[in-house]
Amino acid sequence: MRGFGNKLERLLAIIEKEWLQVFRDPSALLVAFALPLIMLFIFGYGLSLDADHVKVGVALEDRSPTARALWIAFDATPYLSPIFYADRGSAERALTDGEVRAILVASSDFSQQFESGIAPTVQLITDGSETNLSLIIEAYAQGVYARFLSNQGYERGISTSNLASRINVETQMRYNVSRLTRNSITPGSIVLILAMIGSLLTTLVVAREWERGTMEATLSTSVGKFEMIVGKLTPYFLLGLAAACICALVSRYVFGVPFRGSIFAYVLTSSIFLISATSQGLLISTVCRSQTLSSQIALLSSFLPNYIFSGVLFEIDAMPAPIRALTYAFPARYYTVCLQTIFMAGDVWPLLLRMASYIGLIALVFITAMIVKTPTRLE
Amino acid sequence: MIRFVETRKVFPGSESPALDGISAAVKPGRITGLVGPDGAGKTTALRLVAGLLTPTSGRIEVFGYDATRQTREVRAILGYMPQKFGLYEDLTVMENLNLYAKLRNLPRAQRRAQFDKLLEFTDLGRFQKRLARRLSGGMKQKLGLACALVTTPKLLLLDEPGVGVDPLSRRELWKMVRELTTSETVVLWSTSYLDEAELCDETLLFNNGKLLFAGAPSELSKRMKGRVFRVRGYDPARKRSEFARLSQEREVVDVLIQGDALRVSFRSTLSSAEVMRRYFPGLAVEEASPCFEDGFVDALVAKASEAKSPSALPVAQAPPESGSGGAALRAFDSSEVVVEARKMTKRFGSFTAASEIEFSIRRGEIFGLLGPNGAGKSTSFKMLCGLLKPTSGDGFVAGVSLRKSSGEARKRLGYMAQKFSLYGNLSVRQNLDFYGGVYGLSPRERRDGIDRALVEYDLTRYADERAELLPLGYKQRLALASATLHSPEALFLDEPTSGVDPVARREFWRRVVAFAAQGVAILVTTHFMDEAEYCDQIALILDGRKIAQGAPDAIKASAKRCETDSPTLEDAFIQLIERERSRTR
Repeated sequence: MRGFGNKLERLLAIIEKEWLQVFRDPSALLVAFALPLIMLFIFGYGLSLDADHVKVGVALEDRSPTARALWIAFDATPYLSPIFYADRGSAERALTDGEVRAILVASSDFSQQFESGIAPTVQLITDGSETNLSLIIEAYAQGVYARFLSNQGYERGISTSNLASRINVETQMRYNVSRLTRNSITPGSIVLILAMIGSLLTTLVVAREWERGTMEATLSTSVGKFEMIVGKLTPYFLLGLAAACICALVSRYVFGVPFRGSIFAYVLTSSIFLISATSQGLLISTVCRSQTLSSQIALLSSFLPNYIFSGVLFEIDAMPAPIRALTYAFPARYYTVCLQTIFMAGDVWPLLLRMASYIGLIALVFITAMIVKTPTRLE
Repeated sequence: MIRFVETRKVFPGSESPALDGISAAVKPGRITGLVGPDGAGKTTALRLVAGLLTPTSGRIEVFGYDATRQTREVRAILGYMPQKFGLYEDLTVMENLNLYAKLRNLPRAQRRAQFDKLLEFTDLGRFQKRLARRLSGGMKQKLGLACALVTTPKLLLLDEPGVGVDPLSRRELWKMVRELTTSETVVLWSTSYLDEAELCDETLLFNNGKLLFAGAPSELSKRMKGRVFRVRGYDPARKRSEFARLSQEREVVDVLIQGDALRVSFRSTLSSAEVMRRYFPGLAVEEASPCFEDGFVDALVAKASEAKSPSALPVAQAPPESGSGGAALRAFDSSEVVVEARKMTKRFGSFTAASEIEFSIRRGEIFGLLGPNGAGKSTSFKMLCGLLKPTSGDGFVAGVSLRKSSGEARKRLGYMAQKFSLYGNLSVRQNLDFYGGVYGLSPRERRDGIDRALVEYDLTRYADERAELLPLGYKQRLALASATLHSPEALFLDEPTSGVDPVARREFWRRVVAFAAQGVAILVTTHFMDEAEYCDQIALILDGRKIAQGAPDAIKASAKRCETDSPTLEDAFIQLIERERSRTR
């Protein structure tokens, strides 16, 4: 029992020391608390900023005066800069060439639908990489149509109530079938934030000790692998968890994203993900022994792949098969599913547990590697 | 008690072993010094004892445990202070102590008493809440020692605790270790300072991974009894040429300049009358009491001549009779001032690093700048090199103002920086070529200069080798060759010999003395007191001010407490500092 008591004392000493160091080192606190907020706001607002003078190609397949009158109305709005094309083909070419960021196509039966009171169909084709653009343009198009409608009623001296009150916008995204909104991007950005924090915080800690010569002094005491690993993981894990909670609160109350699952499910899945991320960072740090090298390796092996393969920014289904296979090796992929489920759908336990166990499996690999690699000597 | 049994350690990728079959025993209750130059194998030996490295073959027994297989048991009785002290810089003094107390499982009940004792000894009680980062070098070292001693270990390993710490702090450290250890403690203390070795009860003397000597330091000195002599009465001008002549004498093992005197050791025992008759007619010769370093150099020279290895006997290699240029001694006016500091002051914000520093160096003079760490000697040195602009005052090199045209002044001087500042991945020849270019030599001058330097500094066989692969002593030669390629009028040396073994240091000084004999003005900073003895003038800097200046013998005399007292330069140095500190307090 005495042996265990001693071990526990050493473990607590290491945790306490790491904890003190975190609070003495402003950069660690910056990474843990300021960085998630900055990133969350960039993801939350940056991707849905309103745009002025968006260049939109307008193709008229219906040449009737009514149709023309509508499209002329587009010229009047300050938010869009329409460029007119005679047909769909030339407008699409302009989109592929990047001359316009979206095209609106009025089909040949536009005025016929309008006159008969059916909501006229307008096709909106956007570049799939600009996920929020279609929503913005659709809203503008509706606004333009509303003004056009009242003008028409005034000109014709008739009530507009029997005309279609809206146009029917049929949106097509080219090159990316998925549609992202803030509701799904915010849980996704939490994944990226925690992946980043988890690896950034821990990659430096062991390497720093090697560089400053304190590792040698620590190794010369009775400290074993258990204290070394658990003692270093715990503080950073807790820090990551705090960041995760902040992220959830900001998402819910600042961005108004629904949070349909339970806090318990959120903390559980986040904890497992953080264990995997921090132990990966610690493993890198242990192997590299140099701060510069380990932060670069962390960037390449943890942060960037999690970023790319999480499915948050790039649709996994749209990736080539070999790369799609690669995404299974990165925990961010599963954690994304967990968070999107918890935020958007609720506690779907069978799914959550399956995903969490995959993350746990990956974490287990890192921890095993770390047990092997954690030194008790200098070589 | 520790026993090394045929211990051998070869690091992967390295050809020569770091430790080459060492067998030795270390007894408790005494301080055993692991002595030797950098790269001799001291740190490797300590790390093997601590179980931080595993031996390639052989073993080490520590109080009956096998250091490699029973690491846990060994570490339970171990106190270890690595180089750089192993402190957490962003924790406070108390937090560091607490951390190590817990990591070493010091029972809670004993902590308070133990901390109080350690804080009292280290005089760190006032700084309990200060971050380790904000401590001075000397205080860090004491805190490091306190952390290692927190559990009163049976085995205390100290890895070069005296490096980069001034002599005053070093003495305090010795006192602490003596008083805080018991008659059961084994203390292993590694050092590259040979004067420190003399303070040890026992020494293990290492060089190139081999054990040259084991025993009390006095035993090694005893071997030199009747072989070391001090010679006085030289006309100062002849001292240097006599020094050069003697260093090539076959019977002479070693020769040193000590202020106005020469200290010479011989291969065999002689009487002073005989020495006087044979070598120094008309001069005062007295037998000197041999020191540890005499014995070390003798052991190295003996070893080298018996092994006939290529690195053998740099001592016996002809030092440049007239330094760079190969020309015969130039006549020069020894009253001409080459380097001058006039009320040089440097402030960094509100902190005054150097205050009204004044001195001048004449042709052929060696001027030493001494002082504890952080006293301002590097600042003064850098101002004279034109690397820092003085806040007020000015410096001159060969009459050129450093304030007005530091670029022009810099061309007149040769500068050898700490750690040599060589380009590790360039070859020896490329390094020389680069520095020749930097100092503005024409391609032709450069080519001739390089050819000459390669021969003179015995670097020909390394000419196309990458500089980083050279042995330390050769790196030092290359650095000196690079700094003097353009035949400067002034030569500035910033701690030029730290880490180099005594034999290479001697050879280096022979070259420096030869430059002085040619009329070059030389400014040098050093931590080694025996090197300060080579200087014509030394200035002692403390807290940014010059507190003393004079010839080494005059400085020593000024520190005399009574008629019979014969203080060493280090004693004098410490006394002057203490005197100054008590005056200003």
